[in-house]
Amino acid sequence: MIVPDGNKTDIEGALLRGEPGAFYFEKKTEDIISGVEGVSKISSQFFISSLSTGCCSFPIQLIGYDPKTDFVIAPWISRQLKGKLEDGQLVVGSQIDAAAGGALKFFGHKYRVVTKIEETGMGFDTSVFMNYATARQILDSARQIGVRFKFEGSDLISAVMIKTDRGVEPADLGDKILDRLELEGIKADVVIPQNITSSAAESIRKFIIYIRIFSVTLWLLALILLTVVFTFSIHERKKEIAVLRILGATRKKLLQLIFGEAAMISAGGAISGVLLAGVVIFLYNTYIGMKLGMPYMLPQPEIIALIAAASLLLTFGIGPVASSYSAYTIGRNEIHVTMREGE
Amino acid sequence: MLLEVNGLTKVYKRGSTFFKAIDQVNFSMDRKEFVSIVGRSGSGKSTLLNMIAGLIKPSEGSVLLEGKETLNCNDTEGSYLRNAKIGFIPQGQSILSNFNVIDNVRLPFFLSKRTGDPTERAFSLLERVGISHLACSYPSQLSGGEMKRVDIARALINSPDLLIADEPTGNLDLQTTRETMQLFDSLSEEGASILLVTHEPEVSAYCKRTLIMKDGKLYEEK
Repeated sequence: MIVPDGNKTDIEGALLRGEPGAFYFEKKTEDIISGVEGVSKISSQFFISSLSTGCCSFPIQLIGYDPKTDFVIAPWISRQLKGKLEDGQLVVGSQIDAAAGGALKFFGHKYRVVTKIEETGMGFDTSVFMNYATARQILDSARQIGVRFKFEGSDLISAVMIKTDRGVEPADLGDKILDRLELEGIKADVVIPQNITSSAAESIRKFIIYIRIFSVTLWLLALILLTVVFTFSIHERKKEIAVLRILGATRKKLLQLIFGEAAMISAGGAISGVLLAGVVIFLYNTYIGMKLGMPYMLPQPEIIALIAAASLLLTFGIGPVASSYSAYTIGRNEIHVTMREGE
Repeated sequence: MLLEVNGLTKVYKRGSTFFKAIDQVNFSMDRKEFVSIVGRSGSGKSTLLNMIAGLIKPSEGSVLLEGKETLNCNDTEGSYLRNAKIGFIPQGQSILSNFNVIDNVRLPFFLSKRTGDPTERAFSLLERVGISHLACSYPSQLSGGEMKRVDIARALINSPDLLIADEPTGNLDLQTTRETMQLFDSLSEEGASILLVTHEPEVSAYCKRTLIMKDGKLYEEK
């Protein structure tokens, strides 16, 4: 992918996190690149950043593409969109609040939504796709109502997508293209999507490691804290325990009582914790995704259920584990000693 | 013979020296007997009672309840003994503060496998000890004498063969002491076998037989 010089991070932000970007170079750039040896297919895209519309509480990215040459967007949305994307029609990301058959209004004009694409966890979820003609129409309407853009002119594009010939290294071809563009006085950057995804994957991997370390630390802290709490609680209830023994409770019965009580406390904590986590995650899903600054989407319902079940199980087990030390100490002493200590 | 104690001894280590809290105690009691063990504080009477009830392991000797050795019992058997065969009334306040009176009385019923509902029997026991009107009260609302009556009713819920009471009037005033001992006396008249320890001679006067504990040794009152 070739973008104007200095906009490498902008395109990454747009692709991964849905941060709208508006950067342009002249359309002739596409023609120059098509002439470079090693280029198999080429197609340009045109980005408009919309700060506010009725559909969303966040800025969205409008992406115009050329259906005649496109080999990136059309194959991807073909599962949901049967046929060609006509002028005035839109395909919207999963987080855009508009359904197929509805309409979205940009700069005073309404455009028909033909389909909504599945969630990707990336910037596409907050993007709206259209053909070049529609994109230009939106740009013109914006100019008509007085919106000023940094770039004037009608022959602008934002990025050029390139498919290399078989056996051609993208990085080598990128260098060649940059050299060629420089000869024409155009400064550009090469973005290799593979590099973006691997860097995003690395960020996610690191993030997951932090989350795991945090979870384990939290679990251990809870275990230590509950062990202390249960030990104090059992110490406070020595007399009660001794009375139960005097009245004929077996050690096994006492252990059942202690572990049962601990399990009930844990179960209460586990259920309320998982419910609270569920409420927070489902209610603030979009906000969390935006704040994370990396590709984010909710897992499949069965994965969520599995995570909830594992969390329930781990939290549920913490009480009985934490109370095992106090349960052990209770069984050691003679009953009358426990009674005396409890008085 | 209901209870037979032979050569019961308990040795404690205090610092580097050993001393005998109970020294070769022998005694027996029959069914329906009302026996008291009297002695000064520290004479070993509570230790003896706790050993008979299986709450302290003796250093040597044997305790036979209805001819069955109780000291060789494992935890389950020993617990069953305390639950079904012995009604133990501990020293001081021992009813559970989170349970109301009726639940405290019913509690021992649920500590072994049994069927049925003990509520009716618990009520009749509370009536028997004169506090059925307090069935739904909590321990914090009871006087010392009332709490002791709850203890007695609780000890009787599983119809034990032997009722053991450790200083049952230890922290009661004179009037309440009299009422409590009259209750024990009437239970004895009804056929209960009672063994209690006390340091008050006027309490032991209610008993049909008195044993004296001194320096870990037990003597029959002449």
